[in-house]
Amino acid sequence: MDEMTAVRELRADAPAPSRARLAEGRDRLLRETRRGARARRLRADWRLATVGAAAAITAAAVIGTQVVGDDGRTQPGSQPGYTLELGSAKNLLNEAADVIAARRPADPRDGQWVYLKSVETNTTDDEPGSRTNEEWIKYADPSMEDGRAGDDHSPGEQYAFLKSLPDDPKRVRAEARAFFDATDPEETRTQHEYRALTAIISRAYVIDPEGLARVYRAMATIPGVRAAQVQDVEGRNAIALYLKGGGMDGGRNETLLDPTTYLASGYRLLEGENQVIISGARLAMGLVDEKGERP
Amino acid sequence: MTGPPPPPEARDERAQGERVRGDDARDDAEVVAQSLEHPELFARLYDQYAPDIHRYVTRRLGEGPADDITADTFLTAFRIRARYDLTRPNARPWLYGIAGNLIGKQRRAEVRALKALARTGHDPVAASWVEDTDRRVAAQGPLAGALAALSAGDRHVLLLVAWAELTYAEVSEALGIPVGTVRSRLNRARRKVRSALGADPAFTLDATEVV
Repeated sequence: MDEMTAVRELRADAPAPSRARLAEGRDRLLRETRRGARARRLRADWRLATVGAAAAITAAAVIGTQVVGDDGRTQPGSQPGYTLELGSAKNLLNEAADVIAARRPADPRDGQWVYLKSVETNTTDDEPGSRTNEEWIKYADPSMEDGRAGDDHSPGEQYAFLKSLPDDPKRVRAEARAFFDATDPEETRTQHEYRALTAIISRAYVIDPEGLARVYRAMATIPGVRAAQVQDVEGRNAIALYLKGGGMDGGRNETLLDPTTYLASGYRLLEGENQVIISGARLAMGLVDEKGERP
Repeated sequence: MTGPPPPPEARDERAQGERVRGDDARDDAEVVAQSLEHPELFARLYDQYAPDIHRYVTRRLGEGPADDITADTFLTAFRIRARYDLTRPNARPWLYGIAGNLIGKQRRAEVRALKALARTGHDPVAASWVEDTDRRVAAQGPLAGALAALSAGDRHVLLLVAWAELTYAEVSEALGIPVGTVRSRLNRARRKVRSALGADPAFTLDATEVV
């Protein structure tokens, strides 16, 4: 007897379910199919079924460098809710671009502040559980502009960058590479472009619809960008984007999108395919006139 | 489920070659496609696959959880059916993948039960369908301990192959990972199980099984 036989014998007497046992599940499914029939035209698929708050932030680039400690092992509460692979993200990103291009343009002014509220759980922290954070970022901030803060940029500078983007996805990728410099000599051009574009998406606090749509279309031209349906740390549905083979040590660095608005709604860092190490979600974002004010 | 299981080599070969599961399997993509217009048709997949899914979940978590997870598997599948890859005639791996995600949510309960079995010889999961869960398989204590110690991903692969009888290619579809990864995970899982069983003198190893 080999070990596979032993595994096959374990609980081999588990019974097949009776019809009665399966009946309730079948009824639930049928109820759902009938409900779907009515609303079918309104929601072609699950994405439209979720109305989430517009959300999200946080620097994918920061997470990429900060994490993956060597002993960032599991802690209770780190289980992912759900992951369903959707395959190539290409079509999804082009759809997202159309949705974003149809947004109402923003109208930011110097002197305003970007308000962000976010929550994060990090299993590598000593304290388990989630932490909520509110912050106000100056919209125009000379100390964060013209390269004074490296490749960190004020929201105003990021907004101007979005407005300046050309149509051609190839040129958008080149602009993105220059806006978020390569820091890791081992990073491939594809990895650099993916990191830069996700950073732009994650930090688009003030949105120029056309410009941001171009960023999504450029992302759609990067080979190996995949999508999955997941739940964020708040239990909300999200679309996870990741670059195949792009994570460190077989891990996975995800940028989460709101399934309705397609704007960034959070991020996750996974070890292997399903061990969530860090999970963050944007709870609110908006422009306000004063620091301390909420939208 | 009866008769001696084929050796792993043969199973692997089958994964590469044709795998006939009956004529119905050929139609799954068609059923999913038609269910976009006629949602009620989706129940055909339930009738075909719910018994297998239910038994698999029963084996991992017990009968109670299997009721809920089976129902949720098909509800989820129904909701995301627009994204089903219509080039796949057989929906079975897809459904096992969704069920696996739901089982993964109860990973701690699964591991707790395996550890209890390893420690006491009493299987809380089997207790959901038989009264006397002791003295069933000689090596089940060390085996359960080894299963509990596997990573969730390795355990998924091992049990999809051993219990759900999926081929490597089907496991790869179910979990969305490359076939090479399926193979390496399975090898790693088998190695760990083997060494746990090797520590049990009542257990004889077949050296030809080493991959």
